[in-house]
Amino acid sequence: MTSVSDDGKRSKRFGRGGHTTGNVPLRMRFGVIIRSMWHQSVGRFALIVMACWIAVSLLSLFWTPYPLLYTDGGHAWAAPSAAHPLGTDGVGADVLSWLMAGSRTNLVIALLTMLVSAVIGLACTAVMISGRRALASAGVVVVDALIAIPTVLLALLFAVPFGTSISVIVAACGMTYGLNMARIVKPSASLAARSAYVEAARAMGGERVARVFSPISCPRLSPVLAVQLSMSAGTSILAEAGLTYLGVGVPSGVPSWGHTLTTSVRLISVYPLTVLWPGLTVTLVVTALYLLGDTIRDCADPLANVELRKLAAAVGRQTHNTGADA
Amino acid sequence: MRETNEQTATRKRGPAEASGGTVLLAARGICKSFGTRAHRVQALRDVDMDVREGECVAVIGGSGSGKTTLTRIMFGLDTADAGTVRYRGGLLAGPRSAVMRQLRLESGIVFQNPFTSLDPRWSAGRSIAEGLVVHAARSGRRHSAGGGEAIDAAVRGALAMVGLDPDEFIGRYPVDMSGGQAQRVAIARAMVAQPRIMLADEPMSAVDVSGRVQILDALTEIRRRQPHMAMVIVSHDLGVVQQLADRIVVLHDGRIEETGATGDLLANPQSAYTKQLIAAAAW
Repeated sequence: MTSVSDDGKRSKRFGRGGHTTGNVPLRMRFGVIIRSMWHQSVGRFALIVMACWIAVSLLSLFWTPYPLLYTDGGHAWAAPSAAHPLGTDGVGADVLSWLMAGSRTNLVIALLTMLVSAVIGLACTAVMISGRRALASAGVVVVDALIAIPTVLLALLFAVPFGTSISVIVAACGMTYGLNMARIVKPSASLAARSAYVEAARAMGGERVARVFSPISCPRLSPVLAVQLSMSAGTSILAEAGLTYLGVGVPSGVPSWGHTLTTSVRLISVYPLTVLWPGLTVTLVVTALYLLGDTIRDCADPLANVELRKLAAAVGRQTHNTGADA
Repeated sequence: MRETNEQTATRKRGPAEASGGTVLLAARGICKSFGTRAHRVQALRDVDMDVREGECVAVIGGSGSGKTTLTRIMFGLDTADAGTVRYRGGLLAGPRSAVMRQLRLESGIVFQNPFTSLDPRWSAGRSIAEGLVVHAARSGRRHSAGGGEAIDAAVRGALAMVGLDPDEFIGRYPVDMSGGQAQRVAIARAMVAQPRIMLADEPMSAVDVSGRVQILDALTEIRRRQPHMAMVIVSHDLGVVQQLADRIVVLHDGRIEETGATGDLLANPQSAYTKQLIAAAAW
């Protein structure tokens, strides 16, 4: 029998936990995935846009060029200048400041929508692939029926009792995208549930659904989940803009890209530049989110990314060597 | 009292085959059919079979004879239309029964195709460790500080037992292995929890000739190291059966055609079907 190694030395080299049985510690795996993404031009673009989005969101917590409530009535609809790099809107508010603060709101909406849609999508998928046929069939029928309800209608329904808020956008988007995700993830999950390796796990005492969805087995579904979640995040930004324009999105006074678009779109033919900035921002971020999902799918899957497999093999060898050193 | 197929066949071949260790797994009156009412195929017809502690039983027969169906039912992977399966005297009553849980904890299964039975997105070490993790969770043990180390050591030991270098293979994915290597990883997974009984369902049918030799060596080594473990091997390959099995059960058209000690049965087959199988293998 070979190695059982010194825990302290191994922790130093591989980080804490996860290094036994050839498992790659999350930090090392994450590093390889990011490096692989960076080596692709599409992935690099997505990473840069995401980093800028997060950085601007964090910066806006402490600093914006002008306070959000600052207005300069004498310079309404002003063109870009040194004082106002992206110009001003109809009440003379600084567009850059509102876009910076809006990036925070949209980041929260995108993250919460991903979370809600993942929970709803995976829960519905678990029901649809259940070993109990009646439950699985009922699950499919319910999901198919609910999937027909459009996001806008759902947001309007939620807005009646709860008013307009970020929660309404997240609930409406999370539910509709979660149901869509369930329908798309279901075939992959069904294949996994019927696969010989899940049967092998079941023969060792594991539960079928648990084996498909457990955190350690999520790699089986992660390629399709990565694409679906990034699409949910991107589409939630488009939905926020649409719902805010319709008056059931972000409440008045709360900065968001949809809000900036809505306030400036009325005079688009006269002041097209004020619409250009929020429109460009939304387009850039949504495109980057879609591309991010595709790149993660390619780079985080050990079947597609040989670097991940090489890393796992190296960790297996190094774990033993460190143990031998000890 | 109903006279069972196996008892009848065993009596033909003498009392030596009926003797042996404690019966671990016993199937009685197993019937199984597939298909719709219009196109029903009777896969098993009133089949009885025992597996005793420490013995290796080979189930042989042509394609469609019911070998895999029988062993899947005996190991709780399928349900029978009629008949009972008992493990260490307890009835396998359903997927959540205590006896079934005990069988799952104390059995290891090697499937036909290693590339489908191993998770393609898991390293060999992770796949092998899965059984230990599930068992620890089932028995209510939490992972202690040394739990990961113990699992690591067990996984490396299992890889070494099947003739694979633990350092090289613990982090390797199935896509980077040959058929023989992948099947030996699957055998290591089945063996890591030191089962009382193991099923190998045509473990060599999906690999090339060199892979077959490696798997046969691995199984022979396992039998040598774990003499008290019972093994059920489903195979077409009489050479493999001859080397590994103590007893052979010949299935034909869903019925037990003949059963007996390996050397005795191969040297002096009673039924015409067994003679045909042996003659075909000689080619």
